[in-house]
Amino acid sequence: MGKLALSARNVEITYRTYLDPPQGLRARLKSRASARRYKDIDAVRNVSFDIAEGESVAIIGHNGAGKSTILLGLAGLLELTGGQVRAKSRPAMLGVGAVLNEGLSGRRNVEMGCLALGIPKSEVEERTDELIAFAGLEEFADVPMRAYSSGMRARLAFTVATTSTPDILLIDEALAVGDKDFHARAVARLDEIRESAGCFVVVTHSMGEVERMCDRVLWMDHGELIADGTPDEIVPAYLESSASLTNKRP
Amino acid sequence: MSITDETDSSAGVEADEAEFEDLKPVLARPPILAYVRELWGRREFISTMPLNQMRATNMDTVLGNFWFLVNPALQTLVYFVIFGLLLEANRGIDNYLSYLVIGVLTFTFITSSIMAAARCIQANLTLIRSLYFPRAVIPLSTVLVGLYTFLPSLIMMVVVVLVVGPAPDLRILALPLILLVGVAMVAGCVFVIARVGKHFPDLHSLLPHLIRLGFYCSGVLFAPTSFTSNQTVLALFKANPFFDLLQMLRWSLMGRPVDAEVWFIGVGWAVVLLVGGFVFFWRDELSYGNS
Repeated sequence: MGKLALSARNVEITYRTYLDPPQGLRARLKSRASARRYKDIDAVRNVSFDIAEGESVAIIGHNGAGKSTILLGLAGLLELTGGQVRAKSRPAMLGVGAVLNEGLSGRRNVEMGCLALGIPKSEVEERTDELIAFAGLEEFADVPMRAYSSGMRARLAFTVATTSTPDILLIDEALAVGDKDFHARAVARLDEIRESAGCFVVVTHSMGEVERMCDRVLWMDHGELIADGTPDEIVPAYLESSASLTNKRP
Repeated sequence: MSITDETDSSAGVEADEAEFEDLKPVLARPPILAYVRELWGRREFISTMPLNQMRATNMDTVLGNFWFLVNPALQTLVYFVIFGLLLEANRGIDNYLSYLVIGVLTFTFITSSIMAAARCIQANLTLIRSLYFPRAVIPLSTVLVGLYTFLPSLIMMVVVVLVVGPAPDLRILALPLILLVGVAMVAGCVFVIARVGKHFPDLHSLLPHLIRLGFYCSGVLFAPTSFTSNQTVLALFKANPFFDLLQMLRWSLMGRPVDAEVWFIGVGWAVVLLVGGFVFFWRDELSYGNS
């Protein structure tokens, strides 16, 4: 294993959501339960793993397994309930439908994203056209993003997140919606990141993507990490478990 | 740190502790001075973001950004029709229309900034969850939106004072400094309300009532001295930072006399609110991405 790039130790993330219907004021006074009705959802339970420089990792699992949540935790964008995440530098996050401002054009979103990342304005202005071209959005550069298709959004978000070659890139299903042409460019960009001692973690449901792009798979289920290995080891087992779920249906 | 479940949870752990300790925690609140430096590094983002937000607001309207000018003009027109033409009321104040317009337009700036503050974290949640940047950028940008929107109002105020009187004198040169005091007060409130509003969404419904209370306690429509001579009540008015701010503005634009303590209390509030509000917001820095 190479030099450590990203490490999660005993990560726990719990959400509190308030239930619908809410407990009425009268019922609350009667039962003397002062709190509103809520449910704590253990989205991530005691998950630990290490990722080395140059690794490409997929996180797979059924809906609600905690994949997207742990990605937010890895990015430092969400407070952990327990445990710790450490990294060699701050990871860049690429979320599904990550749009900065729906009402603004793609060009302004690119500019704003780059400025938010701390890139100097002169450099941003210089590079915007190049970035728009990379995203293949020249025709739509001045169209408000609320009119963008999900694929176009994903292309723009990927472009912003990879503007300054990040050491660690976290991708939440954002590549699945791009078209084939863009996909090829994105994969080439990801290879560049790995070659410059970076690594990436992708959450995906596409086993094809896992086998093409990743050399390691983490399988999460109900918030826990249940398997860690190469795609050859994990993907067949995962597909089998999905199949058995499907077969259970009457 | 304790590893509770060796068998399952540490399946992917191979590195030793020393290597782990060499990495930086991804979730760490920078010390306050480093945080201020980080904010300074994003100054171009802070100055661009409010312009972009304003662009998005009026993009679909016919008049577009022209609305930022039309709004205060219409507001002034309403007060001119009611108090200048119909009622000719002055509530014991000379040049009442000037007095009124300064109060109302300035208070609109305070109100809109504070109302926007209660929702600013929630409204920018996708941005917060997409990229890392010092979160204080968001309340600061909220204040700047308010300030930029306020600038046309400021022009309206000067126009009204020039038309209605009294003719301004050199005291108008102090206006930029007084505005700075006002922006510091508003920014402090916005920092506090942004943090409280994030965890207590009910604040958004409560705020209009607090703001109305503030409206009547700031002497927007009337001078408290024309209603009462009770010293305790008058002292309470002076303790209100926004009352002091309006007094200072009217001193600068209309030459109305101001008690010395109003300056001290007003500037004192501005410093306390800005520094205190900023620290209060920074202390919760890590939680703004939570749902």
